[in-house]
Amino acid sequence: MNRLSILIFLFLLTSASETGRAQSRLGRVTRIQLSPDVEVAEAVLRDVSGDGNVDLVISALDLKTNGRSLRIHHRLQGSKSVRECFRQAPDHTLSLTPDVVAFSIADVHEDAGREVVLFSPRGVFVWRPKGSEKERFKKLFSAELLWQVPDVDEVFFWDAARDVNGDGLDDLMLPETGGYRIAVQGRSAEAGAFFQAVSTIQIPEDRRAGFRAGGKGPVQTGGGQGRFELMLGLPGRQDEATRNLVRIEDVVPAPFFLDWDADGDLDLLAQTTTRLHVWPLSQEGQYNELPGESLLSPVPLNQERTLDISYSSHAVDFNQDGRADCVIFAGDKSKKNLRTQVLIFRNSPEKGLFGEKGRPDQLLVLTGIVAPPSFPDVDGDGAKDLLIVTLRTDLIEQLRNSSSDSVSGEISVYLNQGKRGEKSKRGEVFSRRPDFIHSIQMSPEGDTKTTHFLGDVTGDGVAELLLRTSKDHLSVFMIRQRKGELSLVDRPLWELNIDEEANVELPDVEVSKNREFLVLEDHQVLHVRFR
Amino acid sequence: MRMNMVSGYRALGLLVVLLLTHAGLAQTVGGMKRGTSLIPDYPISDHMVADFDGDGRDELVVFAKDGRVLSYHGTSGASLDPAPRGKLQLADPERSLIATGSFFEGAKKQLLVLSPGGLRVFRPDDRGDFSGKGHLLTSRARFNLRVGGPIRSNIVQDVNEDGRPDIVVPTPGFCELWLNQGPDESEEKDGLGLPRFRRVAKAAVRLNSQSSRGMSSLNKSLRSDFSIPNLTTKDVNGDGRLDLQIRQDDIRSWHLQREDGSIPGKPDVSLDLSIFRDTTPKSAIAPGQIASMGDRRSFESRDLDDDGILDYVIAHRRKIWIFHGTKAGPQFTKPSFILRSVEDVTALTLLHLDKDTRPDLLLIKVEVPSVTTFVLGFVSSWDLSFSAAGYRNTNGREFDKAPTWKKETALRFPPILSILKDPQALVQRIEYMGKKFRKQLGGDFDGDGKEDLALLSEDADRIDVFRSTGSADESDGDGDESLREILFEDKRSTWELEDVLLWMGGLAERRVAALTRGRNPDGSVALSDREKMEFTGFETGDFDGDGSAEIVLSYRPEGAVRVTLFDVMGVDPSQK
Repeated sequence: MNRLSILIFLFLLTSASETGRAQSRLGRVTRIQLSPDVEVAEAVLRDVSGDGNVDLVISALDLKTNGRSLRIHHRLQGSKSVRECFRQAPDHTLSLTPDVVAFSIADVHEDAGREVVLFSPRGVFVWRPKGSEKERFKKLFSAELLWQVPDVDEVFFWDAARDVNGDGLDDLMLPETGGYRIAVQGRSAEAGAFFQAVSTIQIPEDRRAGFRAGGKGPVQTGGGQGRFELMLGLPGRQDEATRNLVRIEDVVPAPFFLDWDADGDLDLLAQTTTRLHVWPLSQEGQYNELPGESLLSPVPLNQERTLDISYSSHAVDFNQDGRADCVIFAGDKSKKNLRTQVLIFRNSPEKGLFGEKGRPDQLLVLTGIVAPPSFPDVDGDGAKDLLIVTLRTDLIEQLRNSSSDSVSGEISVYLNQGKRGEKSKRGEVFSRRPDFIHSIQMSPEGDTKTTHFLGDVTGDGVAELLLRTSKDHLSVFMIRQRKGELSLVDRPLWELNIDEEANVELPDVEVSKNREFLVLEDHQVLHVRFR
Repeated sequence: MRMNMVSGYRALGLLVVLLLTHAGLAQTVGGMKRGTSLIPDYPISDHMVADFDGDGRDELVVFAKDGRVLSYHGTSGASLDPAPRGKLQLADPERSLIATGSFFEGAKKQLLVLSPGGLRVFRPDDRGDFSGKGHLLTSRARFNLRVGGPIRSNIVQDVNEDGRPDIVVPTPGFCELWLNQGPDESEEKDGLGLPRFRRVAKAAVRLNSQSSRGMSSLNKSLRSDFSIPNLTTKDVNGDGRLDLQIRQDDIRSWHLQREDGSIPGKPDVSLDLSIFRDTTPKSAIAPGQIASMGDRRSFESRDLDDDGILDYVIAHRRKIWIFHGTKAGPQFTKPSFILRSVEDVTALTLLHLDKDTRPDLLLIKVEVPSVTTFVLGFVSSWDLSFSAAGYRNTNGREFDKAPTWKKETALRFPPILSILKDPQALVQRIEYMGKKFRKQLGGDFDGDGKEDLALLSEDADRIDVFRSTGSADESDGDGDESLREILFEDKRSTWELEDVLLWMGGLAERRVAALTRGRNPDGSVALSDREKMEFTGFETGDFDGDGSAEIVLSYRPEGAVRVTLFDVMGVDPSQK
């Protein structure tokens, strides 16, 4: 081997090592292992200690005792330079009583940092890990939580904290039968933190979505959004009245808090079968019981629409004018191929949200079935872009003669056109055509839910793409922007093998400035953090 | 010739008489006419029909969401007085379960309310109306769950069949059995010996729960949906007394009723199914493989040897144990028989496959479609294959080691894309077949002392009435026969989805034919055309006490949860 060859070999070897180190520097993995008798139910990242770094909170189940607990792992100080972000042993552990249904993390006490908020069927409590034994638990207010019966296997995270009136204090929101309860926090030197301004929201009655539970005989039907249930029984079975003593069903729409009227506070939005309801926050910091506006939805949720697996509707402020806009995805079966329409509505003082005739401000048409979309900021301009994963049903036809074990899908990004689009002739919110397309092969074992723009990891201002390329493999790919065009670099920046059955918990952007997420396995939580 | 003409006229006359008589009969039974329509101006939670004051006339009792209990009384025929009566106001309507029972010896029916305040009984006054505070039977039996308004529940049951109504109290995670000990004569209130209740068992029950908490889009909903199962009682040791069976996860336990009607608080027999273990390695559910039970234990019970005592079949992976029950109750120490399957098993059950009285063993193996099949299934029809193997019960103690009945079948589904393109078409087809299982109601509508039958039409727009058909017990029907027919007797090896639906439709039609004895209806009456209202059900009540039952139909607005409207119909009094 001559000298040049040796140099080339050494260069390649070094480059490979550098790449390997770059990969490991890029994404740090901290593994929190629980004992084989303890199972992970849920995990979230929230700044509990109030030091500006997100901590890790794990909801766990002891399989031997059936005891449920919360484990808080504080972020290690100086963890930017150390490999691991958390210690193995939790800093605080709370054994939960059987009546606890859910938990949240919010600053609801004058103690430094945030506290654990516990929800039981009848009330809301705070747990202060640093409080004296007598003062560790305190009831905040009474409530009739929607979920009356705790799950014996888990205590779930309910994201209750919202600063609805912009005063810097965490307010709490929880669902109840027929509506919601919103408790606005106040503070004073004498009284400390208190919740006196409590708004009770009532959802107006509307037609029931889904299927009426039909039949008393062997053929019974039921279902809801995207779901149809068929129960085939045989003669001689017990009927409902003798089989069950009580059946209780409570349903409320998912609530969303956004600024509707550009007054700087958070208004409440909720969608029923035929209408979008809005409860503006008053100047006194309260919500009225009934909505201030109820807009007829241009795509109501009738029985046909409940079977439309592409259907979804979203409220997002696309143009950052302080007014919540709306986008609706709906299947279009009028053509031979399956298509999905994307109806984008811009909220403006002149026309409102849906206008008089429910005509969208922009209409996109996609080929195939659409998975639930998301709205990341891909190009780093601060505005929400549109990310869609589509199952290309037209390409599936090609499978007839193949023995492939996967189907073609597509990841598409439509960039937010911002002011430029607003002023354009068509008044577009998003590009008319995708600014980024990436084909993927989707096997039944793949996970389209883990298609996520993680944020800018490489420092070029453009978000990177996290993909679960197979059941047991995660990859992060660099997205490059050149001359306004986005493209994916084929070789992954970072990869990780995970358990096949693991759930990937993607963060809210607001939670952390770092690019981090969690992988939940049965007895282990993996925390992944990028720069 | 002349005699023939006379005979002919006589015959014609007789025929006319017969026709008129038949028409009259039809008029009498089919002469159902609508009586009162009740449209209460308050939100309704639930209702019931019962004779509380023992005058031989039923009342329609309506439970308002705000806790008022209001009675509607019959006047004549199918007419009810639209002005409700009664002043009873329930203390905690959002958390109240309602039932009826006869708690006082010799007394009529009473209204029972279970709430956070305890178990309270209300007697009607002489007019059959409810008011006042009732009598507290026990404050220790409590119901605390939020149900949105007073609702009926099957909490009053004579569990030990001693003639006294007992109470089953549902709570999250448990059902409490409170046995009626009879009245304490020394503690009479208002001249009544109030029954005493003692909690004898607290049976762990697994809630059937479906909740959702998704907040990813505006169209998502937050949902809490759960049901609390009833206690299971069955005579497990052949002594003619109902015993209590409790199931919690892998634990099964039995409380045997004693001769004096008492049921012990501690179980007589307890079994942890996890002790049954097949050492064959556990199989994962993988494409192209049999969908196995995994690590789940299967537990079935039936009388295998006709001795009136329940026997048990337990399976884990490929191994099956048979245990015969005894007069002392279930026993799981000495298996009568052990069977081993050569392949994984998806499901197991006991049913009659031959003509003898001993149930046989059925094993079902379902093959998980391969990935290629699933993917190609987007554009082509695809099959879900399964096999059924039936093992004959030879002598009540054992099953044949090889299957007597065996068949491979495939269920063929249309291309997935075609379903996704128009799921509504498939759903409508299924719902159409479902409607063929017509809702039925038995009652003596014409007062002749014989049971008649009312059948709701498939489109729920009319009721057909059949005279003197006998009991229309809905539990009639042989599921074993239906399953045997579809698994082994039908010659098809591939069933299209449409074939399954047609088979279900045929089953429905045979059921109707059996109920009606194959006859045409003796009369029909159209239901009120209620725009934007859904028909929710019907029941009988004799509101005028003339021995013939009226029918109460209930409706609710489309999409609403609760009933808001009642129609009452009955045979025209002039026709009786």
